[in-house]
Amino acid sequence: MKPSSVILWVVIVGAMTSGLFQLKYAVQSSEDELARLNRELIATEEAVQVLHAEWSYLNRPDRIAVLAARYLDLEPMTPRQIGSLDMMALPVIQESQP
Amino acid sequence: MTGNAQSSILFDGAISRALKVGRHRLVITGAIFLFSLLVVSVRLIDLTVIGDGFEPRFAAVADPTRNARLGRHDIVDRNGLLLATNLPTASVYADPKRMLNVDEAVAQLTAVLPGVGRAELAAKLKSKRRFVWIKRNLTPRQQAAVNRLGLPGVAFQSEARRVYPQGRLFSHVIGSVDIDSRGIAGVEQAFDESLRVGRDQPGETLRLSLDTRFQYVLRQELALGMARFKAAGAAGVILDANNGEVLAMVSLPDFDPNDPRDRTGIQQFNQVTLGAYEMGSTFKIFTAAMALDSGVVTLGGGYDASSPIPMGRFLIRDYKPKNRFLTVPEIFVYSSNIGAAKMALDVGADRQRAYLERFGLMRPSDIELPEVARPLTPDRWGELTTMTVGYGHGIAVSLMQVASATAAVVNSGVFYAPTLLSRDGLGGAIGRRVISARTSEQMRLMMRLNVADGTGRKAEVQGYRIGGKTGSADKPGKGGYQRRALLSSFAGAFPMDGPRYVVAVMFDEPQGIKETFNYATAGWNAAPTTGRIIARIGPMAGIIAVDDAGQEARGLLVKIADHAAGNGKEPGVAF
Repeated sequence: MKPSSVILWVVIVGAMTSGLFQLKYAVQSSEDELARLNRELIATEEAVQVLHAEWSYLNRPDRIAVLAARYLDLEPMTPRQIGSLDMMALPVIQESQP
Repeated sequence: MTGNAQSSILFDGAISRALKVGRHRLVITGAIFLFSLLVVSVRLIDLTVIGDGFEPRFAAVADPTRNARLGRHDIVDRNGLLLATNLPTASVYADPKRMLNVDEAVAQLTAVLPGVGRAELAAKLKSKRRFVWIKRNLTPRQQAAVNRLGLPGVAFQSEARRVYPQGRLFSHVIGSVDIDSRGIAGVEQAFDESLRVGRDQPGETLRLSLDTRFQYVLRQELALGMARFKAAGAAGVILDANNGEVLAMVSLPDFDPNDPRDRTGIQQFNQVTLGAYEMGSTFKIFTAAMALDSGVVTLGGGYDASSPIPMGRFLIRDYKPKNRFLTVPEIFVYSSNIGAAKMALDVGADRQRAYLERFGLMRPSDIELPEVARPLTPDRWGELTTMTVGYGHGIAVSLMQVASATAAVVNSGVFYAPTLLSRDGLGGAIGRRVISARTSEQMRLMMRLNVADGTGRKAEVQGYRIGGKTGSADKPGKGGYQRRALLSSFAGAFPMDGPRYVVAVMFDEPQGIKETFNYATAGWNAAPTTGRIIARIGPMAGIIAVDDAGQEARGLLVKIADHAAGNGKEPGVAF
């Protein structure tokens, strides 16, 4: 074997080894990242769950009724207040004579 | 190694053979290594270049762990509002063997954890077990307090706790779970299997047919009525008349599902589905429907109700006797027991039973709840039974059954099994015809007449065409019926020109008050309560009020007369 080819092989092996190490560490840090994200995901999901429950709790009809009575100038609808479009008297548009 | 070199060195005998063996071994070893390397590189290429989507699988692991952790699916109402959910909490447990000073630990723990008994905890911690619960589902504040004690041998386990954000509003329907998240009542028990989260089952929320707004109105009005009429209990249900969906179901008194201690027998009892009651005159809806449908009498026909019917030691009499011949609509509107009894007798025991069977009144309701009453039906179905069943005595059914049978009577005659599941996207409901569309139309006219000008007058809401029937039954007690203990009910539907909702309301032992002139009958309590409920849910459902200034009431009589003369309009176009 010629010395040049030996050097070539040594360089190739060295490059591959360091490349492999780089890859291994990259994968390891990616895995750590994944685990961290998963933990974050779980924590966020738990938070979302709690917020959903709180939203439903705050939307209790009896609470809304009290708040509406206190802050809004609205009253419960009566049957009379519901209608359809064709019950409305529409303005008559007169066609102008040429 | 060239041929030249080979020929220049010649060995003989043993040495040559040894070399040959060595060379063979080298070749074999080399081949094995080469093969192994080949396998490794093929696998490497497979993993890196070709790939088969392993990576996303790792990411997806997050979801099942979440489900396994939280343990139970959510329950939402038809509009997606959360009714039951699991929240993560911490529970504190101890390993007594690792504890240093049990007495001191007991003193410290009971100081920060209210509701933990001193003696009880000491007994637990002095036991030989390696794992004892100290308290489940701590609040974050309690967890911090226990953590601050820094006791060895005490640790936390993260658990999920079932929470019902709407509190008492849905007590009986939703039910509750025990400390280990197993359903023990209501929907939680009925759908326990599908609510429980399997290891590899994807999460699915249970969507019910209930509407929180309707439920709120129903509960509020029932509570109001119960307080006003000093009733022992109240119950109500709102059904979609055209597919059997239960929109609201309330039984009072109720309990707080978030507080496992807040439960006594009567509070846990779901009067809508688990209570079987003799409904009284409300049953005349079904008697009239079966009489008209089987053709034994027409709307123009009638019966002599001038004197009570003696039957053995009983006397079938009217609450407010008219003492004359009554037409079928009159029997219905005046709620004549004599007329209904004679009508039932004309239908006959066998046919009566067959119709009741079809209306779903002879077997437990199909509602998806574990608390379902088996109706109490007479063993022997003689003449007397036929007559008493005709006006709702001698047979006990649940309010749920009455509501779904009423829905079948008014919705043009199709029975739908009541359901708590949202029917959206399930391809609609499948019903079975129980009476003809024409009979249904005639029943709607009579029920409307009863509210426009009959015993149900107090249920009238200006603008809404409500129809229904009252019923006041004496509650059975020791040795016969009690005169003073009533069970008043109202089964109604609206709007009667195309029923969309059925509302059934019941009061247990309402009292007469000054405003009702001391009457405790259904016309004075169950009927007005139903009217108030409908006045509030109608606008929510976007039902348009009809303003005809009394025209309609007069028209009713004309239409009934039309039907009586046998030339009523085509079915399905009533009103």
